[in-house]
Amino acid sequence: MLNPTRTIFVPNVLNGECHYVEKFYDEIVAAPKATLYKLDLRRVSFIKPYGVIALANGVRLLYERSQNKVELINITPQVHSYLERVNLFSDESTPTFCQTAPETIWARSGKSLTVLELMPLHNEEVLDSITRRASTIFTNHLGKIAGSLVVMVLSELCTNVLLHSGDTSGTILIQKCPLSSNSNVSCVRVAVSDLGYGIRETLSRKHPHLDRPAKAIEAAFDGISSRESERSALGLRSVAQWAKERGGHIWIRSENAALLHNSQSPELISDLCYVPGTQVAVEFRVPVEVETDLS
Amino acid sequence: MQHRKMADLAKSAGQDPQLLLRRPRGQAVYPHLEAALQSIEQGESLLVSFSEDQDCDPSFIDETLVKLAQKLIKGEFGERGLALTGLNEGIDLSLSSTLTLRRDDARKLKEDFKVNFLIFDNPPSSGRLPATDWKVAGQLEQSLEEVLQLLSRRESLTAADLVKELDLEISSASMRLKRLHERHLVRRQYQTLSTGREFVYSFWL
Repeated sequence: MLNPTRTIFVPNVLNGECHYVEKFYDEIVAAPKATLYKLDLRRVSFIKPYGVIALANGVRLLYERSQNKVELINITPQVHSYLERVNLFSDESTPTFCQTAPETIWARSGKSLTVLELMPLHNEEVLDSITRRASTIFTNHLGKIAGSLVVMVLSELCTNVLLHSGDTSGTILIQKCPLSSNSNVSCVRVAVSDLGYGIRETLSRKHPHLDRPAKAIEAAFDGISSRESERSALGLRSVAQWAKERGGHIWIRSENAALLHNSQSPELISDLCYVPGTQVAVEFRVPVEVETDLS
Repeated sequence: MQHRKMADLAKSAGQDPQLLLRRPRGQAVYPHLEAALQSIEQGESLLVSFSEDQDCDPSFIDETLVKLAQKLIKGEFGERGLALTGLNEGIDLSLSSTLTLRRDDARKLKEDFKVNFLIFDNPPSSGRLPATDWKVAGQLEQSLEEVLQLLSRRESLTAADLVKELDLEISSASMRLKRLHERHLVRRQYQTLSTGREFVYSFWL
């Protein structure tokens, strides 16, 4: 008999390193079928952009299973304000709601939190609009080079979603925050996600030997492309290079595998639970050059 | 030196002049860039300029400037040169990353990647360059960089000049100048001098 309502307790992993977020995906994928899902966030104290994307993906996957919006319950006040600030509840591609409003609505100024809210990637015009806004916001707060980096990372990652994923509801979230150990350095976090074909399906059309997600992700980092042109792809490798040079990393997850590129040797992880599409998290550090209150 | 703004080339291709991003946009702009190079006389160079408010990613650069430079080096456009100006920090980083990755790709295939770009801080207006007003993007051997530095302090150079300046064998001097010319970083003209007919090398100005 189908359980009418199922509550999933979200572990406090949405603020952690990307591989910790896997525990959340495990809960989502393992959840039995129900007509209505609730995500209980009482244990969640903090969320990073990649965690928000994972939460949004979890909601989309549960919605597909139940065909009903997913309710978020028992959200701590700070987390609730943050999720409201990043537009989780108003993002049209994330079918979720909360019965109550957050106790505090955060002002949309750059002084405390600079974020480009969760946005769906419908088409190239939308991407251009996002890019212009990102360029303005992050150049004003971090200077030209950092603003350019954000734009280039955005462009390279989002193009993959638009051109290859088959998902018209891919999402992106960008945020900068001061590094706790050094206020003269900011940490920029970019998270991009789609629930589309995945790298394996995209590349294996032209390269049939790339029949496993892990192989396909590695090939993508080697510049293998699905395009007809012989010019190898540069996007992911450029992003990885820039992130590593700035004390950061890139994490790319597709279906049941992931690859982490940081200052150490690349780490390939297989046998993750299956989540369709591709999810990417990039983090890098930049010196704070300018600070302008845009409010 | 003939000057073209990348923004104008992008507009001609029906593309956003500020957001020089993504491979499809680069592919759309490329024919206009190539036409701009082909429209100049043999012996001339094309100076492509960017502006402070533009963003440009490696995919776009690869489909436009790098592709054009590779064809130039193969000899598809004869005796013409290509240089850049007005690069902001972001575009400079993008260009540098593109050239590094392409060089790495070439190494894996045991091929040569000889693409370099002369980048001017400001569009040059005379036959002599201020020593600090230019640089070369892409990896260039120290020996060739040395010759370019020397050339920037003179209007032109022959192999015999280089022999005197750097105390080289004539064959080494000739080889260095030839390699710079192969990369289209310098112009070469066959001239009659007091010493006879020989190749004279100069910057593309």
